[in-house]
Amino acid sequence: MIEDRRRAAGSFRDPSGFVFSIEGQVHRQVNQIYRDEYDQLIQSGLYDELAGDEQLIAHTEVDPERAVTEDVYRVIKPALIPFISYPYEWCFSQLKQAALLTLEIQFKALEFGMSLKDCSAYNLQYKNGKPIFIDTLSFERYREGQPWVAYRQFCQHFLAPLTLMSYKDVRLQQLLRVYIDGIPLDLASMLLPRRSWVNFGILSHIHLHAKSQKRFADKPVPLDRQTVGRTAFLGLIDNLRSAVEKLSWQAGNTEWHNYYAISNYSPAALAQKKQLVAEMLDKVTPAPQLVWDLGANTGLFSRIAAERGLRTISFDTDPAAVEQNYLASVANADTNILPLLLDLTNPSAGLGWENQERMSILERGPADVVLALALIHHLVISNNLPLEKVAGFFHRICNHSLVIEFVPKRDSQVQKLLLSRVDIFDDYNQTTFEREFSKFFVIQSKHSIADSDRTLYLMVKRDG
Amino acid sequence: MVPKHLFAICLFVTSLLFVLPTDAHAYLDPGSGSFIIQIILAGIMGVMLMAKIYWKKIRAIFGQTSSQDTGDDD
Repeated sequence: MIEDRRRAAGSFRDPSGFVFSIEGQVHRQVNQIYRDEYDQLIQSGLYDELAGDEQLIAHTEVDPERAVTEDVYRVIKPALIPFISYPYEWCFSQLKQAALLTLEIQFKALEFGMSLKDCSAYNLQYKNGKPIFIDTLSFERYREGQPWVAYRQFCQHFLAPLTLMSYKDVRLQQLLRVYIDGIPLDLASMLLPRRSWVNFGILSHIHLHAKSQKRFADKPVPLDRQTVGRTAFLGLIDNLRSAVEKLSWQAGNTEWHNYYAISNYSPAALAQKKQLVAEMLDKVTPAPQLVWDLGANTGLFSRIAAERGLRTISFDTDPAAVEQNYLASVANADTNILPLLLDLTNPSAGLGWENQERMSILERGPADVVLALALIHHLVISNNLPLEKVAGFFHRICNHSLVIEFVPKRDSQVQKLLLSRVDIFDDYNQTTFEREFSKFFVIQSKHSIADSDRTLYLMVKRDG
Repeated sequence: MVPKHLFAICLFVTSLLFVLPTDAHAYLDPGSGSFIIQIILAGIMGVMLMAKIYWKKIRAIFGQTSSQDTGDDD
């Protein structure tokens, strides 16, 4: 039988090799051109050091006969990343941790006579609650005297977005969606406030760096000049590390992050809702592998799924909620939760060359179970989405079961949404909700939530 | 793939290895301005790093002395 082997759409820039799949399983071809570097990575002990600390993805070598092209040196099969996420979906601390890991890897690489030849934020993924470096072919032998070829990329992919988030506005991270090779430094420099000029690291790596880029644009540079000694090289990386370490962002008083404190649930109602969600998750058969909690806020209900050993992606549109969720997950050593930033009304699209380098959120689904708690009114009332469209979308992203809460118009949270607008939502009622969702799902059970007008449903997806 | 093409590819790859012995994998454009500022910054930051290391050493010596003096075992 001929194996189904496909090259990954986003893996074409580096001639050292590429990612491909064999029968749907991720592999990486190491090309002959990368042979000496790969041997050094393995034989120097750097691979063992990094993989042992779960900083670099572990891999096994498989039969090179399974390669896609003939200039193969090795074929490796990296350990599975359960869910692919991207830097524009991470909260501030997730991006910061990824940046610090990158620099730590660079320090370790130098100890083993190697250096990172690229510094893309897309070289990292989140696995078991921690960032991990996934591009095994990013290492090259360090040649003393050579400047760091990935310096510009580190500044654009990590330092610029983190600085903008910290100094100006956390939402500027979304520029990463537009600029696939990181935020241009002249743009970052222009957007940053004046007080950033008195921070030596930011002054150096962003403002002066941007000016230098402008000054020397299109001027040739002799790449092989021996100009940066080892101490200077280490000094540069050390300074980048301290610049990143100093950056902070306090999740301020944004829209949602104190939602539970101000919501209209009584303690009894909240406890009952938690209990109901737990029971519904336990009822799902076959046992689910992947849960998507949409509008998860700080992850209160995601934790119920995670406690059951279910891998849970905890999406929210509020950067502060995602930040709190992530910090809580780290504090609780919650390895099953991955908090991510996602605006459901404009979810991550396919980006990059041919719109295929970075996957849309739909390509990364479906989830076995979708949780949509206290969400429906935001989609229908705040975003004018007809119930049928919402039901259809949930059907698309859901493999099996949907746990959904209906929040009626008389609920104080809905009334708040209607305060400043004309109520054009005649169809927004429980009868229409059940009718429209029944087209795509079978309602398995429904329960009223005490001290509220809300109802919790467990639904199972209809085929087709 | 026909052997003729394979030979051509092998020849091409081999020739690359000779022509570009140091930059075969430098597929990123480091950017002229980024290179130049890096050379300047790295010089300064290398000195800063050395100062930091020596400062730590000096502090360690005095820190140790003072903790011995006061009997503080923190």
